[in-house]
Amino acid sequence: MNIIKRELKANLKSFIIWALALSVIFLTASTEFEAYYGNEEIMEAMRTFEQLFLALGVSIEDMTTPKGFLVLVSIYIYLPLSIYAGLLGSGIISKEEKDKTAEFLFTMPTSRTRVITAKLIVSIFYIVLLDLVAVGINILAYSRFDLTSDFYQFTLYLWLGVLLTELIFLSIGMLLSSVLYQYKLSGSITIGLLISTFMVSMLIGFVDEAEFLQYITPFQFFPAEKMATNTFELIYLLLTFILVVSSIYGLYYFYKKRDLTI
Amino acid sequence: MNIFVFELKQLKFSILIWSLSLSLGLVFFMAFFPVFGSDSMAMEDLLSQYPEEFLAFFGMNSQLPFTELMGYFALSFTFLMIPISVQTANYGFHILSVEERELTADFLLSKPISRASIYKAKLAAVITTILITDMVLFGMSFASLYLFSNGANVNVTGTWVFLASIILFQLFFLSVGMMISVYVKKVSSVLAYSMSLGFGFYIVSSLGMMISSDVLKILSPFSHFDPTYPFIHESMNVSRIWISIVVIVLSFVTSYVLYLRRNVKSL
Repeated sequence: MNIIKRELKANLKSFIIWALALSVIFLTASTEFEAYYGNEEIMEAMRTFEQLFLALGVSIEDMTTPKGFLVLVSIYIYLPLSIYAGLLGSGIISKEEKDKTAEFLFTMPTSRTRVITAKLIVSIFYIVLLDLVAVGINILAYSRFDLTSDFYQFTLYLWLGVLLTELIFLSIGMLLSSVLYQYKLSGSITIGLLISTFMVSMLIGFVDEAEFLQYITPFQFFPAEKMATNTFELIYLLLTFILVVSSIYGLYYFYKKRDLTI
Repeated sequence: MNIFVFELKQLKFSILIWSLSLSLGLVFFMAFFPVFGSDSMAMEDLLSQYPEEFLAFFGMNSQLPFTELMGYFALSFTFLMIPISVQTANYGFHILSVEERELTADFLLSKPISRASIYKAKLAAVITTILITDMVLFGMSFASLYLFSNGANVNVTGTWVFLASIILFQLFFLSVGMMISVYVKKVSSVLAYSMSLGFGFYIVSSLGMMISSDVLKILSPFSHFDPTYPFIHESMNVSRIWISIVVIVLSFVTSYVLYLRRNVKSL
């Protein structure tokens, strides 16, 4: 319990900074939406441009509704929240070694397993909370417009989709910082994975022929387009489950034997 | 000289990994061009029918459609510029703060050498690492352009102008990183800082692009160095780039002054 309290405090500052920065971004995006909201001209234009979207292979929601607009800018929810999760996961494990507090912590009469469990609880708490803040701010930002129950349902699915994506990066970050001999590397590798899977995901958006790569990038597992139609595909749920569970198992397995750098 | 050599040695793996993975990323993107470019004629017809603002919303441009070789190359670089910015910001945040983080400040700063020369040696070392990465990346750019051109013409002047502007783009993140690292009390995690700087500016710029807001475009170096511009005009976007240059000069001067006066934490 002490460790949980300590970790909650240690990660609070960065959480607040992230939450504030994200709120600013989402509010800016929503003010721009006013120009689109219920705009007949744009709706008309969207219909004539249908051909273009078909050629691009993207399914564009009606961007004159809050839901459609949110789908369009959703990458700015997925991307920063995944970065937060990845950094938190690798940081929370490796910071004892980085800050030279490993000696202090691990000479305490508590097992490594319990320390890891406490850290895991705190990380999951923070990613769920940031996800709630992100989705909550968006609901607040669009509440000026007439929201339908459809929108609220979509935000619930969006929240779940983002959370699952976050969990993948969190568990990978935690696993890497317990496996890698050099604790410094874990953050870089997690972020490297994140940037490269993000780039692959963008490539898939532009180039249809690259679609077979969708199984290797978590950003394509639960994209907002699918959340908008309330579809979770079993294969991706399964993939996520396997990734997260094996990473967390690996985290416990390897950390117990870890040769800490002191 | 000793410091310069030492810092380069410290960074040698970083140079290797970054230049390899950036080049691989570029080749990976470009490798999809031959399969993708086949139905480009139909696409061009479509694109020419739509107004500029509308295309800008989806990150497209009728003068340089991404179904053409140079447009596709520019598109690939739009994404590649994110890791490039993170890499240079990483070096910027790392280089002046590493002693304090690893508790070796007492060792280095008690040597009979002024802080000014330490600063210069460190700066020279990071600029060298950036230039080495660039050499690999530039070589790979031309190689992949010719390799996957699919018979299309390569705009050599445009490419050179663009690649030269990339160096300025990197200097922006390097200098801002260095300035922030000496301004704050402690850089506890380099990656957290460099990620927020790189991705933060990327998000600002692409939001600015989507909602065509001039304020956001002026704020972010990603818009100043927009890859499509050099390929259309065969020159840099001077009306935007001067903002970056002012920031670069100011940040280098501020970081120099602040580093000389910094109250470095000792053991």
